[in-house]
Amino acid sequence: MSANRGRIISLFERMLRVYPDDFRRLFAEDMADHFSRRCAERYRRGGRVLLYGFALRTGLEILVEGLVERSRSHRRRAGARGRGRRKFWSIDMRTELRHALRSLGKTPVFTVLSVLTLGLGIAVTTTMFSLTSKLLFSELPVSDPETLVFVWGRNERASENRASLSLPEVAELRTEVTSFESVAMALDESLEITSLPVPRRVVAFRVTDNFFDVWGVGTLLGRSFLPGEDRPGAQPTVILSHGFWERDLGSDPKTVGATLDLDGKPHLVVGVVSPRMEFGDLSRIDVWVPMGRELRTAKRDERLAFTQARLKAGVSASEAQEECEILASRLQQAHPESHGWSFRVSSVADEILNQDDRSIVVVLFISVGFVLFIACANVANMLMARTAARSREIAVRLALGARRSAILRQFLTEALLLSLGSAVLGLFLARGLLDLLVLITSGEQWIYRAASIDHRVLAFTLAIAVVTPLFFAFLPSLSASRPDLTGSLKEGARAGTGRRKRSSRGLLVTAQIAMALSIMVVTGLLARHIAEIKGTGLGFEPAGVLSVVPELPEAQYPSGNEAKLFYQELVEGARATPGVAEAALVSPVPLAASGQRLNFRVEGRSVAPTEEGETPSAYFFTSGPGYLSVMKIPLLRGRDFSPADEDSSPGVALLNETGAARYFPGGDPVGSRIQLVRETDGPWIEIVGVVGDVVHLDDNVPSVPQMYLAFAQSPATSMSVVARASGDPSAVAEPLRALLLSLEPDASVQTRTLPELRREVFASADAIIALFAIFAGFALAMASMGIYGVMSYSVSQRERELGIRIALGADRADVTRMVAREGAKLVALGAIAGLIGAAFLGRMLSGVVFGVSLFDPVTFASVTAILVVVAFLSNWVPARRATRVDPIATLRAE
Amino acid sequence: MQPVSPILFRILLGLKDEPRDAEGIVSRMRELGEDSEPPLASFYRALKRALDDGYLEILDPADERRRGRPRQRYRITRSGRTALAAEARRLGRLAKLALGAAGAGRE
Repeated sequence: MSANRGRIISLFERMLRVYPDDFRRLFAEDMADHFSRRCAERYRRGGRVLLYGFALRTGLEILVEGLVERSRSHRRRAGARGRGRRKFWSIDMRTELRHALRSLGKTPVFTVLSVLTLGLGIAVTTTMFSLTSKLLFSELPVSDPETLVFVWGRNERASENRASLSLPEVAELRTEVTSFESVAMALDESLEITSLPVPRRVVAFRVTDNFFDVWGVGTLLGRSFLPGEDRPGAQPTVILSHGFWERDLGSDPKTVGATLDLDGKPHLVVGVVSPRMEFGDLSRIDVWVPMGRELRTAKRDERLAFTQARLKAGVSASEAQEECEILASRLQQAHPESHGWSFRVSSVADEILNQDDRSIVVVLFISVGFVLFIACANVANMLMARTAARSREIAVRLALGARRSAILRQFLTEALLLSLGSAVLGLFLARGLLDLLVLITSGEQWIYRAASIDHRVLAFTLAIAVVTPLFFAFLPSLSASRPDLTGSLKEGARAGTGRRKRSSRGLLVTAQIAMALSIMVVTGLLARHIAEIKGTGLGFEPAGVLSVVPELPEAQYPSGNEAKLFYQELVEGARATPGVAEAALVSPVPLAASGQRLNFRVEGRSVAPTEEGETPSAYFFTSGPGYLSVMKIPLLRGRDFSPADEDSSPGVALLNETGAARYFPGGDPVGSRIQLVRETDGPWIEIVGVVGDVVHLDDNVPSVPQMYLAFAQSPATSMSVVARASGDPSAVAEPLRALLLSLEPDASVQTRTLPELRREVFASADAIIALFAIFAGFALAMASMGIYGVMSYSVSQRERELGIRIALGADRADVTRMVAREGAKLVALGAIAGLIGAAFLGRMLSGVVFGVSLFDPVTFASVTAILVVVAFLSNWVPARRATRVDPIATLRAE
Repeated sequence: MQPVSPILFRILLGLKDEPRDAEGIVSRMRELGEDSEPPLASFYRALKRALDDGYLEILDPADERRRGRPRQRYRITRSGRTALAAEARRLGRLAKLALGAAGAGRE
């Protein structure tokens, strides 16, 4: 609770910015202190209810008084010139505000409903803005961001343009590309800190010695890496991230100079990096260790390096791109592994929001706009009903000589007060929504952790609060200030029944339904897409599986044979470990990394590998016998690998369903032979089985061709073990780690359960779905409230007409149908417009949604059905009420 | 002399005997028989007006810190006392009138 109170107080402190500077200088500290003590007292006396009520009321007062104070100080500064007007305004504004407050207080239900509705609308808008403002306006942690570029691997045939680079490529960029002043790289790694009281696994970046220089970020304590410190054999050192140092080491300055055991090896702590480095994905890094590997001699087909470079003064990113392409074509000729690969130099700005993220953000913003509109439309409808009820009061004031502008001003002031109140509520709710998103993503996504209600968000919310009344109050205010005086003043006359007023309210409801439907369809599409991948769509059963990813000291495994023996022993040991039901070898582990995309040729077909789009290609994995069974990947045809598939026996491979359908349409691939094009004289490999499709990381397209090579026959030297446990998979992590270290004490090891990996991969998607679901639920509720309100109002206005119809012998069922038809027309019109809107929004998600069609009939139909059912129910209740009109009472009133 | 607002009257009254901080003024208002606290925003608006009109002054912050008082304290000025006395007299006259009328009514 005290955390909530702390948040309320910090929000209050920010709200004080609405006061002019001189006022704040005098009182801000006192007011915050005073407020905090009153909050504590309210909480003691009446718990949350009293606290929130007090905070909300005081927040509203602060906003109103702050604005009054600001205008007063502004007028004082304006000097004598405006003295005449000053008196008029200062009296007028306060009177107006007081009058408006009194008038709203007289209709508490209307006021509370309007503030709640608009408050929710403002809350989602504010949440969205605080997220995007973090993305768009965050200060980059780097100095001279315009000269910092990222270098990615690009392979057009593999539709790849954000691949990591291989270490030799980084070495070549460093020496051969003159546009770059310096090139740095990092490898993602997981290390275990064994010297802490409770050993803890941390996310590490293994970097070149110039990494921090290229980023232009210094250290808070100690020093950065020294030149040469990243060479093999150098003394192991480590730099800590600010967050890790703060969280896990209690910000102890003595940590620098001390030793930390990483994976059992002592590392000297040389520095703590500046907190500025906690930006974007980098915020998940706990420690930074030097590379400790020779770049040039590493494997060229292992693409792991996340690469950045500083451009030389006066050199543009496109010039660097040209030079990189020249290098790429040279590498393609020299190395078969580089075939098809080039570089892509991209600026920091491009990296912050990629195209897919951008389209999601745009669709989110449109949805947020819709939600706000729906809320405004509801409040406008309520205001119209209220205005109609007040038409006599207004007519009296006009008849007594009140100016129309004065009436308009009063209405707008009331609306402004409503929206300011809603803004205060919205800010509190937005804070809660952000917390909810952090909860949903288990804190995995930096953006949700980083998003906060800062001055920019406050200014935005204030602007929304000032602008929205124009939308929701303008129509009602206009119509209120133009009543039919004689009609309104007659006793018993009804106002607001005009066809024009009814149609403008109907139009608002139609728009609400249309927008609600659009948001619901988009939510449905995204949810189906995620469910498709998450559920059976993964292609394997992650529950109960643990992955063990070892890293072997290269020097001790100079050839693939030693490593193969080691892995063989490891997997056999794993199978014999108590608690392990099955175990097998694979590389890479699904969800942890994607396979390598390679071209192959099919025996008997004369397709040249250079013909773009024609060359068969697939993501290649290496697996051992039993892998399909451990992962529960279905074997559709043929057989799995067996222990008889040895190095000396003919090469065998498994192809997935998509690959079979694409490259062997209508035929059976089992028995066909393929050859990898990178090894022109390599052996022919026979496809012995067809297996189900599996989702791997970074496959941002569904169902790609995938091929599995037999472990015993392929040169893969970095394998992982996947073990299906008979119970909790994390319980076998420790025995397996011990087993691995008993086989190779110098190895490092990372163990993760596949459900953990799945959670991490889908954290962001879950949050986006949750956001959309909140919008959609809110939109549906608001739209149904809208239609309920409009229909109830319409029925109450038509009571006389309905009474007469019933008195004249109309069937009650016919009356219900007649009234319901009116609402049904609005729903139908709204639904049609909504479907068109949804198709439009859906198209914008084409890069994001796969696995379901953008015009998925199931989603469109089911969502429309939900909306139509809810809308009809909201329509039916008032329509039923129409039949309960008492004809006698109506006629007596006549 | 212009009549002072009810809330300012109570603030001035709260400061009559000794300088106090904001919290102290509110406590003193309670001691003097106020049932409810003034709304926070109105209270500070009144303080600002009183400072602008010269009815109150803020004690020197450096001096205050030396005395170990972290919160800002306010002291009533001479013109504040005059305004307080004038308002008290005005209210007294009104009270007398009202009581007189009530007494007449009883008779």
